[in-house]
Amino acid sequence: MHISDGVLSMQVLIGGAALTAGGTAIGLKKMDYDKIPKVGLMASAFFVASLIHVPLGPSNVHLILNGIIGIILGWSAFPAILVALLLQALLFQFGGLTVLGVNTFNMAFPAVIIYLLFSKGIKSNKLSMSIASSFLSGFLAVFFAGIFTAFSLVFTGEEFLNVAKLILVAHIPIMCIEGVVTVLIVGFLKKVKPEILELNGNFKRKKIRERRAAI
Amino acid sequence: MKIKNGIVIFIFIISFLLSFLFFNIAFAHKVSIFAYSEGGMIYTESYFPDGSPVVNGEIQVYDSSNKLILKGRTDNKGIYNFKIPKIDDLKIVLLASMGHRAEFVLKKGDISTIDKENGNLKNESISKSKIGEISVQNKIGVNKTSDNEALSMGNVTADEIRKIVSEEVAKELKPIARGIAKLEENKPGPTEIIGGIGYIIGLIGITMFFLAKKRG
Repeated sequence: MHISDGVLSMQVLIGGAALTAGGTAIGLKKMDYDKIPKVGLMASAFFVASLIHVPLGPSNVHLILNGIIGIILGWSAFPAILVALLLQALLFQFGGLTVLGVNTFNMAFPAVIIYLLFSKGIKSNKLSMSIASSFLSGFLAVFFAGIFTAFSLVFTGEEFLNVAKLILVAHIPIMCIEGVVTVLIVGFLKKVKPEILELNGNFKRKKIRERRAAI
Repeated sequence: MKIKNGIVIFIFIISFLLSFLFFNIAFAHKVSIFAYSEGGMIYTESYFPDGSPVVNGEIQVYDSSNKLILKGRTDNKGIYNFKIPKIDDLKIVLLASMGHRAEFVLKKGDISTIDKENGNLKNESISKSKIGEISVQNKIGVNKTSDNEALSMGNVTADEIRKIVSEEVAKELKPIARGIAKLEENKPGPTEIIGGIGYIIGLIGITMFFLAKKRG
């Protein structure tokens, strides 16, 4: 879903860059010392995930993983995805430098939406609740990313409904795959490393650490 | 309850793996376009870096003053051919929906003007029959001092030979040019992937360093 250089108009590029700058500022502000390795890990995951491809129609789609990134990082998804997309543009020639802002916003903002909508559901102790919300977060993160991408393409003269339909239909398989992947990752993390999801235990530990630091 | 969890996770893993069976997982992301001209036509091929064709992608041709002069769509082999519309630096743009775009500039000098001047592909058969003549003429002309004179005497001018040779060379070079164009696509390999992850780890280090300073 990377948009290439030279497709979008100046206004869209500037708008996207501004929104991404804002999101990244918030993300960096919310990123504390303990969160940095997590942000780096998710950035690497996003960086590599785009290499797993599903060819469909005239274009092809790939794993995005922005749902799980949103769940784990919240607003810090912005800096993580920005770095990953920058490296993809430089090393793989995916997307491009001028569209970096727009592409980052299209991927990272859905991640933040997912974080705001589902983080409570995922942390729930009810298994069914947790599975349903993690599937939806994987599924909807791609869905929103598709909507935003279609929306940024509207200003190039393509009709919104047509593009949106095309993108969303092409991404239905990837939405399902992402949903399943997110469920698997959340299930795995809950068992092996619940701190990453900031489950209750971590909050207490964090507070203790902060108190110690204050002393 | 624990057994139930296990079953649920097992089903998910299986369905996850199965879902991959239905699709080829290929390394591709951007689109590429390659164009060459021959026999009064311009041939374009559009493909994803894994070699699969761009089906029904839009092709736009611009001249050197950036004016749109031609539009078309690729077939299911990613091919779109058209007659040379203009001898000029042509910019051929591929738009493969969803914001994928690539362009290829076909320089004025790369468009085979010879074919254009003489019109059609019919020429080829004529030039082929002439090749025979040339070889005969060459044998006769060995004794003469000036090549040009010798050739013009035998109904074949130097210009005509030049034309034939350039046609043949272009034909021979076509697959090579295509190969080079494909080689220039740098597919993301282990170097790029590991390099990128390395950059990220470096960035983690730098931010941690500064935050640690702030904290300390």
